Amino acid sequence: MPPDSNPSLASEAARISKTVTSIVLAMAALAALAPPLGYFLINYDYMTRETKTYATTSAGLLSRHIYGNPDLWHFESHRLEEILSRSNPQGGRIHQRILRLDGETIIAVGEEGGNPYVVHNSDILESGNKVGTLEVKQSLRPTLVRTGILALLSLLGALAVFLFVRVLPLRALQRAFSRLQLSQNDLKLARNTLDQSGEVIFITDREGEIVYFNSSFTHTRIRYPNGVLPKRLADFTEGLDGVHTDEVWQTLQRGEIWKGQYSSYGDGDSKRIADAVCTPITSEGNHEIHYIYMERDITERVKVEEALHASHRMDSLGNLAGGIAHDINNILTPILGFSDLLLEKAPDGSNDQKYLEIISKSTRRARDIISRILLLSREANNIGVRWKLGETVEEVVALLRSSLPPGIAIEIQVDEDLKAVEANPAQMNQLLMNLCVNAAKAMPEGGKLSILLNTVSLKAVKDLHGQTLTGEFVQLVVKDNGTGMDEKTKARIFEPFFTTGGPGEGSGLGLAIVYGIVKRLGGGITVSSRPGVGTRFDVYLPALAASETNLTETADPPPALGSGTLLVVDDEPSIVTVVKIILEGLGYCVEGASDPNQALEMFKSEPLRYDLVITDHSMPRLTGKELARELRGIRADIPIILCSGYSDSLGSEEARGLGFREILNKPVGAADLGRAVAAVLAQVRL
Amino acid sequence: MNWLKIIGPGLAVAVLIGITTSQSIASESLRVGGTGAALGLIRALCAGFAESHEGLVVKVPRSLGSTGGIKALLAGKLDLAVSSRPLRKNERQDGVREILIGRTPLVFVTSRSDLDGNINSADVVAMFGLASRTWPDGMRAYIVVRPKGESDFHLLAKGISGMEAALNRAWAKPGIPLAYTDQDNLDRAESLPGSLAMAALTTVITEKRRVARLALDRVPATLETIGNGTYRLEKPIYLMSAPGRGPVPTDFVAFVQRPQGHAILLASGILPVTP
Repeated sequence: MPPDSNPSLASEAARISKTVTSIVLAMAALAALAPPLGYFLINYDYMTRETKTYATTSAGLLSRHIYGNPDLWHFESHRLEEILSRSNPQGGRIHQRILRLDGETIIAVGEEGGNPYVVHNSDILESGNKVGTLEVKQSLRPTLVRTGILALLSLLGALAVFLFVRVLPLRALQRAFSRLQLSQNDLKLARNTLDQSGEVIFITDREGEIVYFNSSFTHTRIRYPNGVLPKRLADFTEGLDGVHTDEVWQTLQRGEIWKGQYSSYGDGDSKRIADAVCTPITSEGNHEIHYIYMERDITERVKVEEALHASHRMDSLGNLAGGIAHDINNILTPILGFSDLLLEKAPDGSNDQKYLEIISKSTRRARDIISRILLLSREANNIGVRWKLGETVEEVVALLRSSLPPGIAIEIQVDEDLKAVEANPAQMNQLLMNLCVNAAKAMPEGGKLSILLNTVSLKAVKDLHGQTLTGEFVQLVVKDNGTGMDEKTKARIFEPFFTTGGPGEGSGLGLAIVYGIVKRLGGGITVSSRPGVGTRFDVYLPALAASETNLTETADPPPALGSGTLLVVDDEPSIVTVVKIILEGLGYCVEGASDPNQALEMFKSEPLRYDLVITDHSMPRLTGKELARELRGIRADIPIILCSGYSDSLGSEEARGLGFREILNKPVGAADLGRAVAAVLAQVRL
Repeated sequence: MNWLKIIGPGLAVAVLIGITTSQSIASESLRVGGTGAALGLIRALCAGFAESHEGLVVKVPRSLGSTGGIKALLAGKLDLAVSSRPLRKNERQDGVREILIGRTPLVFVTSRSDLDGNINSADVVAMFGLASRTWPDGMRAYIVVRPKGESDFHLLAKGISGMEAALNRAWAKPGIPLAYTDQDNLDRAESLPGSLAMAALTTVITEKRRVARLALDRVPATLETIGNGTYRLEKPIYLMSAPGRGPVPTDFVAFVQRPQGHAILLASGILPVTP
């Protein structure tokens, strides 16, 4: 508000200004009138007294002088004149005149001056008889002239007084009002700021009595009994989770700042976390002490921090899992390869065939476990296909139905216009399976498991870990009416190896894998749960446009025999060996190198010798990516297959961009390897 | 009261003359007044004149001063005026005539009786000029000053070198009392201890004043010294007459100028003017 728009302050300033003006005018009038008036009155009084005194004194002198000469006294005029002159020593200022009884003037001394006069007559006596009159008078004209001059000077003085006493104080007053106005504006701004602040703010006096509170104070808090606002600091802090009222008060009494954090719960499971600080405020001179309490709602911030923390934990675990998977896959690759080779040679029905099949199956099971672990990591195979989840739901439900307790009813709702997602079908199976298994476990006494699939359009929806989802998504809802979870449990369910079951009842990887899959696909997940009510997971996966068609898997053809010279590179010699044996068995000429630099030298020496290069990625001194770049630098059209325990930071698109024609995940079976090589060579030779 | 001393003899003479006159010549009167210095002289002359004028009623008012006497004469309030100065131009009207009847020394007088009867003119100037507030022997001196309008003031101012300035200084000094009449003058000279005043010798003699007369610069103030010119401070005495006042004033003037009158003058401290 501009300074002059405060009507009360402006009217107050005008009123004071008017009062000051009136007072100063009165002072100026007094200053203008008092000196001349006082001067005149004092002089007039003095002259009156003086005239009377002169008249009385001189008449007495004259009476004494003429004693005994009542008839002829007036002839002594020269003596009478001298007597009067002697008694009028002030330069003749006083005019004295002796009159006979008949009014004739005998003598007159002194300046007569001009009108008006102060006059006094005294009788001249001889033996008690009046023989004449002494008239003594003084002209008031000089006094009036001096009074006029003094009045003029006083008027000038009064004008100066008026100007200086009115103008200067009023200017000071106006400045003070301006400053007061600014202070009021500042105060108003500060008050508005406090009032409109989203934080809960209140101020108490030194006794803890609340003397000010802002609007958030009344709106935010949800726990005032009977809706009665606290009147004291202690009323406010009493009963807060994690806050001890006595400790707060003692801290403040010591002149220190109290800081604290507490949680409060509202209706349902809504939780509010607040960061509070209470600070002593001392005015100038420490005479006045107040305390200001400020409380900030940090619920969202805490959630984001927790999500970030969980995300980092998941990333760490994923990296760890990826490293382990790589090493194990390297071990499994020759086992699987050699067992496949031996199995082809083993006599049907022989124990060798039987044992080799067990080895092969066990190896493949181990590979599956490794692939699950890799799902925790974003480095896992991300190559997906365009896929409608409806089929996955039906497959999973078919698998689940027989293993679920009979008391669990399964409800499936799939939107007819459900859009496709780009995902690995196996991962989708895993995702849905894990969610459904968790739901079934939450309903030991039976219940209802609902699976819903929709296409939804989201606008700035935040998922569990604070990621904002905007756009069109395929929504997968898995909900149950089981035991539900409390907040603490809910906050940790996506952590790897976190399980609510007892020993042997779960690996703790289920929901962590779900989280990894969803995150890798660029989706989001939300969960809501209430103890005794049930749990609901909402998985959002980016929907593909309608024009993007589905791809369906084709049946794997048997590996065909081929020809050509292949270069196999892997830092694990056993893998080089088994790959070499498998591919040579299919008719290829295979050269192997367990050192990527050695392989590069071999290629450099005869670039045109090789029709295809198969390389691992994670190798010491030279990675598969770097080797591929070198090879393509020598020969741009050389086809390269990447065969790795995991693709490190290489996504499928990036891998293809680097010239990798195919990407194989270890451990790879002999058939898969043969088909991949044949397919790449077929593309090259077209 | 001092004035009783002054007018007492006069009144006694008047009463005596009046009583006598009322027995022989009824309604014959003589009114004479003026300078206070000669009031004693006038009374003595009137007493001598009355011896040859039975039934004469003489009125001698208290001191009017020379000027006042002349005014009263001109106003018809007096038959004769006695003055210590001649007529001024403005006073010479209506046939007023002045007759110099004699001269009297102006003598310094004091209430002190312990002096050797002399005072130096330098001391007089110093004391009247307030340069010295004491007598030469150290006693506190109190001067008696006459008003400027009196003839004595001017005679004294002109009679001694430096005296005019001294008198003006004394006259202007606030608090210095002025003796407006000759009688006041001698009253103060008598009553003030250590007084110094100047008076006509005739006044001192005729009024029998108890003051000590001082020679000036060793020259005594006597009729002889003014007669031979060794003493220059003197005062003339005039009689002023106006026409139409009857024969008595004229007779009185003639009486004064006769040897009988001269004898009275000499006895009264006046050196008569001889034709």
